[in-house]
Amino acid sequence: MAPGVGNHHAYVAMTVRSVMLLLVACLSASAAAAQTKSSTNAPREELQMGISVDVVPVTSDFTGRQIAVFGTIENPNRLAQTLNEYAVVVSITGPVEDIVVRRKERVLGIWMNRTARVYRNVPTFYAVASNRALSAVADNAVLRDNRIGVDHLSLSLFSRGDQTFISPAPEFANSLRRIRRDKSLFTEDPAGVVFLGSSLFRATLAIPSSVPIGEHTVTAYLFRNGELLASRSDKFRVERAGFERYLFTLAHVYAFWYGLIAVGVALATGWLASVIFARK
Amino acid sequence: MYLPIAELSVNIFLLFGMGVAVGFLSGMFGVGGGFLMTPLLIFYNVPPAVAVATGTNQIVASSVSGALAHFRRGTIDIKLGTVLLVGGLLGSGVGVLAYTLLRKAGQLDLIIAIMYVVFLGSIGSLMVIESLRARKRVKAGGRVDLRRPGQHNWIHGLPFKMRFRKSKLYLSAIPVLGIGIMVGVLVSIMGVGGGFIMVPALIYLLHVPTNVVIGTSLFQIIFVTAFTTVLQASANHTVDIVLALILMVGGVIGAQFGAAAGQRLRGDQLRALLGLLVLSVCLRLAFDLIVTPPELYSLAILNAGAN
Repeated sequence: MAPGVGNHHAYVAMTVRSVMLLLVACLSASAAAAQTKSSTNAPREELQMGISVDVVPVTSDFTGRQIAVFGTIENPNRLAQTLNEYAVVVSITGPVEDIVVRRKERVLGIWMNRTARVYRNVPTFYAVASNRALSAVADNAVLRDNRIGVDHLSLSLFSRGDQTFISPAPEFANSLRRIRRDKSLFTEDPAGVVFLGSSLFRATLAIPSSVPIGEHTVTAYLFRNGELLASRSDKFRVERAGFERYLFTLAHVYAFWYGLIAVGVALATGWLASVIFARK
Repeated sequence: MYLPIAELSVNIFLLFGMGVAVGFLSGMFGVGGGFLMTPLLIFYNVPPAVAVATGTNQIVASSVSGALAHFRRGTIDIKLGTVLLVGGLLGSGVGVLAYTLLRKAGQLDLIIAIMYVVFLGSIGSLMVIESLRARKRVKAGGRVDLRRPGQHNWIHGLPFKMRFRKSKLYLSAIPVLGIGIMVGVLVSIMGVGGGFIMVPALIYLLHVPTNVVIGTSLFQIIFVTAFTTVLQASANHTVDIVLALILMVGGVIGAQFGAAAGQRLRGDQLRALLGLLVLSVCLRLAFDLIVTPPELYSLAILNAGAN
């Protein structure tokens, strides 16, 4: 997916070459026209980036936070920079899960879950920031191929051999997107990426307090005139911390003992209450 | 405050207040309060599955303090309680299994709501009607007599008879087990103690003396709810210990004040008030079932346990 993720030495060599090429280009009178035409010979643009965190701890007072992603465009084309042609998109994709979407229908006057669709490998969290509206970054086909944007996330139906589960139903997929959007679990921010210099950018993405636990992938994409030039990925983890982590592990890994502890706490509370209030 | 199992941010003072309020009512009316607590939690957006399992845990605490008081007074029929308990454990196992299956099928929330509407509706109406009749009789100068001892019905013809000395009864173990099983199923699916079913059943069907009924049912409830808590925690991971603790502490405090307030009211007034309260909770739940919900679609994770 990421073109030209070469080794470091090749990079240095390419950078040196690009500087020389740039000098040559600047000297020539018809620099602008020549550069766009001969872009196949010129070194390709590359992305470098870093995330502000490695681990996001979730404790009882966690109210969400901002994730900052810094990056630079290497080997930038000066003309493209001047004409503001570069578009940068940064996304965070959370761990995937199979999701059942159920629809309530009226049966004998009562609303109950009737039909359902199962979608495979749906990201539990997806946030995307860009320096312009996604529709202005690239056309829908390109966005869909790269799964950029809430509407372009791939939602593939899960087959269980049951016809009711595999017949296509866009309203189910749309509802999934809508519910996740309402909970700030799927977000888009067309002003979330800002250029701090000609090639240095910063993306700010908000993760809500309900952010799913697990490994999140941050991907930065560089577009120019609707064409994907480069992309780069990195990861960070969201982890339960402190008392919450301890309790959650206990409840899921040592479930039986957790149950016994819950009963023990209840017995102690009841007994204490009867001792305290019986004295009155 | 963030609840680790319910995965929900909540206001700790509001929850504590709910505990106190339900505790107050349960102390006043002499009921467990599970049938009020679980719907309240559901109204507060706690997932019904978590509300039910956590409610069960909270009832352990409230029934222990009640049962201890009865134990000191010697108003528990341990033998009768034990037979009820055996039935209760069986019923609870069946109930937790049904709960797990229904949850997978996506119908748990619906079944919980329907069961609440049916049980609260019928019990609430019976209470209101009964208290109105009692009131008429009081006004007419008659005596209020809830117990009808000495009556024999088909239940007394069943085999496997046992002698329950404290209750001064000699009757078959089958109806006792049956009541226990039914209560056990209710505990695990509805998150209630089941006292509101067990107490009338023991009085009217088995003619257990009123003075040992409450203590004996509390005795049974402790063990059934404790057992259900462990089962729910193991099978469904839906017991939120933090939520339960907040509710428990609020509940036991509220119960003390409620008991004092209850002594100032007459029996038929109490029953009429409780009946109206039960009916209003029932109507609220029924309303949610019938009115078109704002969001028709819901999401659930299929492969839980990825983390």
